Amino acid sequence: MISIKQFNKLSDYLWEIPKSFRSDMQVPARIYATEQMLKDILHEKAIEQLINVATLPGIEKFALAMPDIHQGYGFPIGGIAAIRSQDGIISPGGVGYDINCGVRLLASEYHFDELKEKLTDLINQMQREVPSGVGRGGQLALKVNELDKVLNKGINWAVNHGYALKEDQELTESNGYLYEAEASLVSSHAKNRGADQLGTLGSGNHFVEIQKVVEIFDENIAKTWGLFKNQITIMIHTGSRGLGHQVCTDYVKLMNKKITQYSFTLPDRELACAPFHSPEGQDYFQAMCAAANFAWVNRQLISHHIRQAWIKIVGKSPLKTIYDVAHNIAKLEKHFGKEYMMHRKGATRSFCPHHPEIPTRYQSTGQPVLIPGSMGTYSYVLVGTDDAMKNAFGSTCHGAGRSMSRAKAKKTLNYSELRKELSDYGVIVRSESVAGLLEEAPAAYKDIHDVIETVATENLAKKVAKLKPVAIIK
Amino acid sequence: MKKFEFLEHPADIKIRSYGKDLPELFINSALGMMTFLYENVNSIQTTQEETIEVEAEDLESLLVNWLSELLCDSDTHHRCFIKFKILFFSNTKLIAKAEVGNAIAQDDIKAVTYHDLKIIKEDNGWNATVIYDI
Repeated sequence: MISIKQFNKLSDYLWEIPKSFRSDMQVPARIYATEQMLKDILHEKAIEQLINVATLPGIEKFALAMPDIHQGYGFPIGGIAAIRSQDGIISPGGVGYDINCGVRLLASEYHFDELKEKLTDLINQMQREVPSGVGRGGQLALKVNELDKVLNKGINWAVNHGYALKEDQELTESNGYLYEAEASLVSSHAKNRGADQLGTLGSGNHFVEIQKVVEIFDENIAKTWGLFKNQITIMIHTGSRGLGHQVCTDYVKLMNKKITQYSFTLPDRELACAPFHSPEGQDYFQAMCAAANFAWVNRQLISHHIRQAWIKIVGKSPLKTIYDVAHNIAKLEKHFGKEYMMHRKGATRSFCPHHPEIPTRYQSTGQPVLIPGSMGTYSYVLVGTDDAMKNAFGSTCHGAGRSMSRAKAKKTLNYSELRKELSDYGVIVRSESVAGLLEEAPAAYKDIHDVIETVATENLAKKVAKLKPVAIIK
Repeated sequence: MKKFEFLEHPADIKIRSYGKDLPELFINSALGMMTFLYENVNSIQTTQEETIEVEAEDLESLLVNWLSELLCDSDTHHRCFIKFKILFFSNTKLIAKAEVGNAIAQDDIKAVTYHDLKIIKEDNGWNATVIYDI
């Protein structure tokens, strides 16, 4: 096990394992965390996984971890790697099985007090409209050629079919469309697995939450974005469902098969990768882009269903998209004048003001960064910064991060106590599964406050607003 | 001999399975995964028989590919695989038959991973440890 003495302390919130620590490291490994947070994860394999990331061909500057780091498979969750596109690799493990898992925030024009009597009806209606849990299919059953259009066109498909407003598209990372996507590189296994899952939430840590804005930290930015105190907002957290899981599975399999043909060795088979410019590297990238497009359409369709539920219960006054971010993705990005394959696995883009890739209406502020908490804690809206560009390739954290295994949560936590705790906290919960709810209990997660304070202190994103859950679909 | 057990993992699920030989180890690994997905697998009524064939470049990949194939089918068609019979087994190829019953899973698995994957031969048989991303 690595000890804290093996880290160089760069600041109270930044620690580094030097390149000399292991002979196969290409760059140092850095982690943003308080001393206590760092000590808390040393017993896990997360740091070892981060060091493994630092060995990948083409990685530059450092393998980076955010304060919500926890043990994953291959890459740690909360890991970031900037890998030269020219001569580096692309790794499905650096994106994860839930390709383009991400978060969308919708904002209403209502104060909490105006709607609190309707919250139960609203969450019930939303639960009827948005399938959640294991094995529930969506409202749409697409034929293969239509699914290919979703994969190739992303949110453009949803705009063309009346499921998205032009504004939704403008206010989604990459406009909800990666043009490199190629549906023919997504296997029929993956298409069949995801075919009836478009517009569904899934299980695990995914959710739809009605929230109340309880604190505004930056009035000017909040106003620019249309956020105000006591406002009702809705947050959606989900990804590319079975289709994305299968794309990752297929390409880990392919790259493991081909790995002996490449000139490098890997410390962990789950880090399976291929040179970005190899046929396998290109095929994975285009298939991953297609799965990312599917995820954006998924969050868009869920937004559409939520808007329908909203109209039925609340009436007019449509919900507006604030932003939609990916937190498991690999994208081509330019940093410091060079092109990188940016791998973010459990990390959010945090682009600064005036960056060409953020929406016109957010040019003066920087991009919104959406950080979901667990169901008994706050979520945060942050804004991208210049320091994130300088120090973290335009990246920041993505959530609270687990502190207790799902098995332990199920074994040690009590369901009725959890229901009472959530009810005392003022949250209405709708869940298909007792076990699923226990696994996602607030006690199973790190304190999101510490995670947010760490990134805010290091200015990897600035705080804009704090949101409290008032009703949840799991 | 127990067939499989669920072990602690901070974020995901870890299943260790046992077998007197490799074919039994592969069957029990599949049963462990199906039990996590469907809980009481013995109560599921089977209606069909399926043949599953997988190939790989080595034994570890064969285990991952075998479990991934079953997982994908189970997630796609909402059906549980039980009562396996291995028809052919080598370190790079497996052909099996299984009885299949329609059912809704109680839990979800995204994928079978290579992370910390171990297939170990001991005096009294084999064991395999697999981490699943959930």
